[in-house]
Amino acid sequence: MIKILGLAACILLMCTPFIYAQGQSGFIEESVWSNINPATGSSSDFIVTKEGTKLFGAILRTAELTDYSKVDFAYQGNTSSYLPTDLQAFGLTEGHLFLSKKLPDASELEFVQVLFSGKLQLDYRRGNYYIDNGVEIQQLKEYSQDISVDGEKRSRLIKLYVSTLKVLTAGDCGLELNGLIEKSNLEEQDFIKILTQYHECEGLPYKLYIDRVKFVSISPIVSLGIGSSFTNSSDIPDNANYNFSNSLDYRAFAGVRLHDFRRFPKSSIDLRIGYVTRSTTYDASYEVRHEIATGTQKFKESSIVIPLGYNYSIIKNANKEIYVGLVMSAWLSSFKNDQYLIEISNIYGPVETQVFEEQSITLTDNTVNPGIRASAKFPISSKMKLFVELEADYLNDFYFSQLGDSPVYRINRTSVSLQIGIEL
Amino acid sequence: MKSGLLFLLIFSLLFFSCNDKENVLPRTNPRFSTPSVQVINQSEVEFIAQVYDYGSDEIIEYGFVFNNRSQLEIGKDQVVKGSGRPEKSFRLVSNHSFEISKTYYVVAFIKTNKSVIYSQAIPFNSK
Repeated sequence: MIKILGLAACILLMCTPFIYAQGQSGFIEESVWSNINPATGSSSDFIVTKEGTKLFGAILRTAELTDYSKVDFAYQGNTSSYLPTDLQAFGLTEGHLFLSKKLPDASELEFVQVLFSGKLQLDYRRGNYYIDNGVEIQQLKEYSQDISVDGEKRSRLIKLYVSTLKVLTAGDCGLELNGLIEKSNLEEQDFIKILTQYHECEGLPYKLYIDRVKFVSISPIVSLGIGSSFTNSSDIPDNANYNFSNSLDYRAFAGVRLHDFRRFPKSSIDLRIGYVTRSTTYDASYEVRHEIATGTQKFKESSIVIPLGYNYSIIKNANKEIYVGLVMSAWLSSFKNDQYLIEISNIYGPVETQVFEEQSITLTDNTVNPGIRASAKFPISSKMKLFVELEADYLNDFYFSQLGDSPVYRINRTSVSLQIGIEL
Repeated sequence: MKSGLLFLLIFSLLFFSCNDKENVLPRTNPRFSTPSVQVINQSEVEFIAQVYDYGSDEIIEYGFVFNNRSQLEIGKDQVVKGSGRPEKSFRLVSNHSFEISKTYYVVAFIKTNKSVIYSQAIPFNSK
């Protein structure tokens, strides 16, 4: 009896590493993945230590919410760093779940995001997908191969993951899924669809973790700002000059920002509509041999501006976000003249000046213009962020100017603005 | 906060370095509108013009030149005038025997110590 008990104890001890390894795969119990803190009843970040203790606290976010090489965890006023060797798992309020795993060809444990758990587990790490059947972790991969067809070089895509999935789902249900597997692409949604259908067909329990993580967050934004314009002309005649008395404009914008994309958390897209206005006086002169022409025009310029921007975060954490962006803006512009005059004076002969009530400048009604921006964003409350944006827009051939019989010349405008806004 | 200050600094640098500073030729003469005309009767017509800017030249006289041709000139055509600096809106009535239902032209003018400034000519029909 003692010998039998001793043998059983030996087997149990020998299996301990195996039990730990099994904990990495298969269907994950709710006690591990749930991010609901029993003490508060609300969702929270958490870690599961190597010893199996689950602690709820706050994890310092990285810009890439899916990529952690270490975890800085704040718990009861103290912040500690944990490596994959220190933790079994950790989870975020947003619903992301990570396990410490040793991936194929890796020498040590890494934090791997779990997308789907069941008999087969779908994992993600740095752009690659892995499938874990509890015995082996395999990468789902494909590669291109150059082949020659009738002497012509072609590229063929070899989908290695198709055979991997077919082998792992072998059986009656797998046969039903063959068509779906063969048509699939190396994409998260395709793999999730295959695994979901497989587990439902087999009547196996499964859990999807990304359904709680938003594909993208949408936030309304409003901003106010001032801009300063400077101009240049590539075809102005040598004997012509111009000046705008006021370069300042005022602007207000409202719109939406799409941010925190599940797969591209550093990217954001915003679409706004705004109003830009300035009042200025345009003075111009043109000198030829026998006469001098001058023009003056007081006007108020108004533009409805619709910018579409793509932003990329250079720094993104809980305290601040610094991002740069590219913008394409549609400017629907009009202006209202207060007064306009052109004066032409004879230089030779009788000194006479003729005053004409004619415009010396017009603008282009509808233009699409490129721009760049650099911005900083800071949280001011749990639901509100303050952002400061510096943006430069280039308005090509925005104005056209002509004084009497002088040649028409085009004026480009570069508008640099500073905006302060709120993101809700 | 440091980032915010950096933005303000960059913006200030751009703001103060981007004014258009071209050498537009200066104007010292007065500026005024094209005249408007009110025909009172066969011999009386009232001309009105607005001064936008008196300029810095000394104004000697002001008025209107009219006739039945569009190329009008003091000394060659009919003139109605006042002396010195005009009101912001100046008006003068001509006493002239206009031919019935004929097209005439008028220009406003201001004479300074440096030159004569004419407005555009506009046509009007006599009664």
